[in-house]
Amino acid sequence: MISIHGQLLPEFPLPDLKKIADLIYYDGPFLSLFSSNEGKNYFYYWCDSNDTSNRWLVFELDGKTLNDFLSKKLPLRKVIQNAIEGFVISVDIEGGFDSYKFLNPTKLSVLSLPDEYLPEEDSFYAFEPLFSQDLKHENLLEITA
Amino acid sequence: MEQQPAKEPQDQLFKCFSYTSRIVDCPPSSFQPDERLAYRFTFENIDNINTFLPVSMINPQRFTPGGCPDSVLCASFGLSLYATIENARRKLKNLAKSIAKRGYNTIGTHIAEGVIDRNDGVISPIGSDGHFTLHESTNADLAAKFVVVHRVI
Repeated sequence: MISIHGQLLPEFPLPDLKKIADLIYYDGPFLSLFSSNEGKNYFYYWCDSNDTSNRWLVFELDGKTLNDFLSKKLPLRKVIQNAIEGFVISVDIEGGFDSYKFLNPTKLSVLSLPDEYLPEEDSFYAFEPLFSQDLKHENLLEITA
Repeated sequence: MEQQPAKEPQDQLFKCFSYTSRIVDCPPSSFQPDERLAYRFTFENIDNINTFLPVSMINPQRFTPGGCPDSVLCASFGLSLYATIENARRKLKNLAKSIAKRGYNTIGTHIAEGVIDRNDGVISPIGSDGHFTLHESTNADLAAKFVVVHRVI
């Protein structure tokens, strides 16, 4: 995987987020929407892998940014670059559905993201969300209807 | 050689049976055998070991925490195909804009064409975007049937 430069954290700080939907999916998710108990929105954005792990960028976004992305007004590249407080957490997930570990959690500035990790300038949303079982997100349903 | 008659879905054995048998209604009973032209994302070298492997059989598995519905888990033991080359090209081009560039190593850069027949397994209904899922029978060998016809990335 590409070397990234940031602040290595002692543990992944967001292990309890609730999955809402996979927003970009092909034979597995590339972008998933999560929510915290406080109702904050988070994206898991896939960016890299090696023989044992997949690397995800996890970051908070505000409701307007989420709405603008889903309504195709804002490209994903800008969504990532506009992450709240200007940082993302990179985490390598090792394992499978049944058992997995969060490795190498690293806080890094969006300005230091390798270009290989960013989508194109015109990465406007062009997919259908796959909702997680038993979860409702009325705003998302309205936006994507 | 005389062609064997196609087996009914309930009589077919599936490649991922040891995994899918733990999932309710997998493959779904609505999936049926069919004969049709199909398109799949591949690499320039179609002999790449992962080209015709269901995503859940590729390590490391790409998933996000929090689980997924049984229907999605079940589909991850099937192969994604498209009904037309335009359907496949549109999806791959949209993905290419929206995923990190290393994702091409996972999903492929080219489109291959082949005919699946009633002995290859069962397929889902075709979605509005032309996508459908094939759960392969143990006898299916798509690598021998598909050829690369188009480069997208």
